[in-house]
Amino acid sequence: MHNASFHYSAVRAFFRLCAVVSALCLASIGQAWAHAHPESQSPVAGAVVSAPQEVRITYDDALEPAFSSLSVSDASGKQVNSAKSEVDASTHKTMRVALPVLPAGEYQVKWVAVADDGHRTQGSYKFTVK
Amino acid sequence: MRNALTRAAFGLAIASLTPLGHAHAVAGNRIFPSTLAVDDPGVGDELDFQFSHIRAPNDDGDTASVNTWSANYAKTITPNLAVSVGTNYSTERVPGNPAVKGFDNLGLGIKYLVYVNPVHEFMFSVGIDSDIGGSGSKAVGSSFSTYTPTIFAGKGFGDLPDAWGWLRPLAITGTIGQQYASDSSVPNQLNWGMTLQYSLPYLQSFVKNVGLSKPFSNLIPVVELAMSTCTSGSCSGSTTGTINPGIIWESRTAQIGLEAQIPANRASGNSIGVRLQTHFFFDDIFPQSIGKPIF
Repeated sequence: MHNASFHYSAVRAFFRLCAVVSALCLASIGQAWAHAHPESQSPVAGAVVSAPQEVRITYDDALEPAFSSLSVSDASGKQVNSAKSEVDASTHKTMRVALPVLPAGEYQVKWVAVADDGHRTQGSYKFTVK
Repeated sequence: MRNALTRAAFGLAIASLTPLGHAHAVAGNRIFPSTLAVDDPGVGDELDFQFSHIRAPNDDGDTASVNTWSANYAKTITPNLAVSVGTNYSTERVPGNPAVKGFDNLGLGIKYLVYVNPVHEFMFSVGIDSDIGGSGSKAVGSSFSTYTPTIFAGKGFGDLPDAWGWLRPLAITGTIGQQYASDSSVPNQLNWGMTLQYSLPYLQSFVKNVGLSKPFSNLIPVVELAMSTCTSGSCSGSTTGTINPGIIWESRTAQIGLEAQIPANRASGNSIGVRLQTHFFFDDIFPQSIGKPIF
């Protein structure tokens, strides 16, 4: 009887601990900032578009401007943007790079996003200018 | 004695289906999700809860209905080295017999990320998982310990040529580990598994934006194969396991997974089970405290 009582107490403690930890994790998610991932891109991956004036990516986290970058290269791998990428000063979540007038062809976007706390993510995708 | 051995073997089989460590694994553009039955190839600071229900035959030839609740925590010591601790609480019911319930043995693990190739989205890790004999309840936990040196690997197909673009979101992961028991009368076994996954977030961000909205843009359809082959004793050569098709919803800080568990052969059972996961990435939830490596 004593063993059974201890058993159920242990089980209850186990599940309560799991529930409390889960609740703490869920409560902390809203305050979290770490790896930054793209929420929206312009042009989007795989798009066929008229020559865009810029590439703009908005992330789900604030970026560290000094270590984040965005570049665009043509089909031969040559970088086409002469301007440096910049991060918006208000939210630090949108990175953009101005482009010259691009001739028709396929282009590759490469980005590195370093979040405020130093976590680094990267990505690449292509779009086509018609 | 036979019952004890049966329970021990059955517990061992169930425990072997539950991976100890789970990790947040990034290789270039690829994020390998923390799959439910087969451990991913990364290391990280993570907390994983799972519930599993399956009906499987035990050594007496009876079909047991097994519900398992598990909790696992992984902590990075350095960026490439992590340790993990976990346990299961399981309830096993066989018609006509009282339910057998209790905590399984405490599981400890250590894992080292050996190699990452961002361009080819490849990761490779090695580790040892162990179950500490006698640390669980007498009803469920075995009296002997087990040690499983394991290799983990993952490969994304983001490096495929443009003509194969729709296949770039695909990735495979796999593990293989030889399990040894401290009791020589207990058969050793080879635990092996693989996953095939198609990442819709990868498709959207890196291949072609097809206009998916949330939550669909966060989904990763997956099929897992979690197997175990007896390598010694009278059962040598017999293989059991499950094929788990399912879906993972992934966010920056957490993921939720749901899978069916389909017995891979007659020896593995004859009815479909289910597995549910809630997983938290501490490196993204607590990046400045317990979510970062100690060193």
